[in-house]
Amino acid sequence: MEAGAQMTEARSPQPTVGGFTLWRVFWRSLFLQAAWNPKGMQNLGFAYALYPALAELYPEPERLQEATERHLCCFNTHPYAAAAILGGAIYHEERIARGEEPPEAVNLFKGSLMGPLAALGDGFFWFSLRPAAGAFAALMSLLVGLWGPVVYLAGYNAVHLALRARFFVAGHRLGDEVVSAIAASRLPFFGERLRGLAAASAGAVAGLASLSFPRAHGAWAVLGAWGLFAAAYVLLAKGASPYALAYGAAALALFLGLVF
Amino acid sequence: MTPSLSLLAALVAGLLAVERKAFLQAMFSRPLVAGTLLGLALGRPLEGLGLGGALELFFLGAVNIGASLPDNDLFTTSGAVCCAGGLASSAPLPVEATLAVSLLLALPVAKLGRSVDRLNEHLNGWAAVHAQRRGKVRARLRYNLFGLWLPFMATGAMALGGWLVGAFALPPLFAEGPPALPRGLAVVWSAFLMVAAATALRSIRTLRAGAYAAAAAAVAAGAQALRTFAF
Repeated sequence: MEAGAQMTEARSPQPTVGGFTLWRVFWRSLFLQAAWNPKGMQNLGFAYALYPALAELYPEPERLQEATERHLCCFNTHPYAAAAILGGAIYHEERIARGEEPPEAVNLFKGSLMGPLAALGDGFFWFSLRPAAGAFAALMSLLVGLWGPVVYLAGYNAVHLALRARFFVAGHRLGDEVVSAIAASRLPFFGERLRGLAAASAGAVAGLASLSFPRAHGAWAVLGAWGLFAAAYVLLAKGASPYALAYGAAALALFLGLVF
Repeated sequence: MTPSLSLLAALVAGLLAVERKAFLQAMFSRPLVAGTLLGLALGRPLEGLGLGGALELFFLGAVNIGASLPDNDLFTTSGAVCCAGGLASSAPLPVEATLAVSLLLALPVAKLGRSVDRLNEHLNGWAAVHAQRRGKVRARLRYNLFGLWLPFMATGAMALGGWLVGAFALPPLFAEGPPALPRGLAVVWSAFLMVAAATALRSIRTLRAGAYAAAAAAVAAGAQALRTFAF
């Protein structure tokens, strides 16, 4: 290790990853889950994303091989939050290349962050932002038609891409301190508000859809729609399958539609 | 509708399948957006939007966490929208009836899509082991892109299959079915929207979801009723 560090120092006193390479790593990080597999999970995707940075830091083939190998161990986290770990991994690899820390430091960093960031990312992106954007856009599609999907993509990705880029930059600049930067973004606080928006949007869709029943049956059709909505909600809470409910409701509706 | 449009839709579906997990995940593959894009490719954007909106709510809680896999919403969306596109161009039915029958046929294929996703993971595992045997590290890392192919091919095939069913298998059935069938299917479509909204609400993890939803539902229904009957 020391011999390797001396070699690197002889070549360049401050090996760092350049701006263009950082862009390449960020671009390749978008393929993080392309080879998701049960054994290594995102390991191949992580090493694939990091490779341009490693190639710049370690021009010697043996050291490059060694550095890439250490990123092929099992790795899994939220795909967006992985940007923070990827940035942090570059920070650590730069220090390793300068001989300022041992090679094990980067895997300790990855191992300690992937669990908490997975929980944070799942809670905010998968359980809050995505349902909010989806339900709100479904409501918008009833009101403004084809602009609904545009609202979805614009709203979701304004947050998603901004946070993904911010995580990556913060990880590279701050290393281990990236945790405090992510904590300062108050994602759980905003997540709770987004879940409220999602619930309100789903309710509003139900309100509008209840009026879409054939008007020939008047108020009874609207009351029936609300009864169906309430029954479906209660049965789902009791563990009923959404598919069974969908087909059960379809059979009932078809019968009523054909008879009345 | 020409078969070339169905091939275009199959290509779009395949690309969306790559975006769903392997690349970017910017939600182009979510049912609302994917349904609209497929509808646009088939020249039937409103059918795509309608099916996409309903399926978006139905699959709102479908999340891929760790090793757990959700049902494949894009499989259902591709099959349903392409089936609706094929049917709409071959049989003169009310839009709601077209949407309902396409949806009822395509809903279970989400389970099949999940099996394809699981198969893809195992193939990726095989590729990772194979990559380990390669000497040069750069060649090994190229295996990362191996996982793009199966979702692309399988979802494209599903879109094409849906179109074939809608364009050729369903129209004779409607021609021989009872005349009231389209009217009954229109009620099925409205009923599915209510079940989808309930499924969406149930999947949202917040304590006051019911209160928010009830308030918003009352406001939306009241405003719509006022607009319909007062003006």
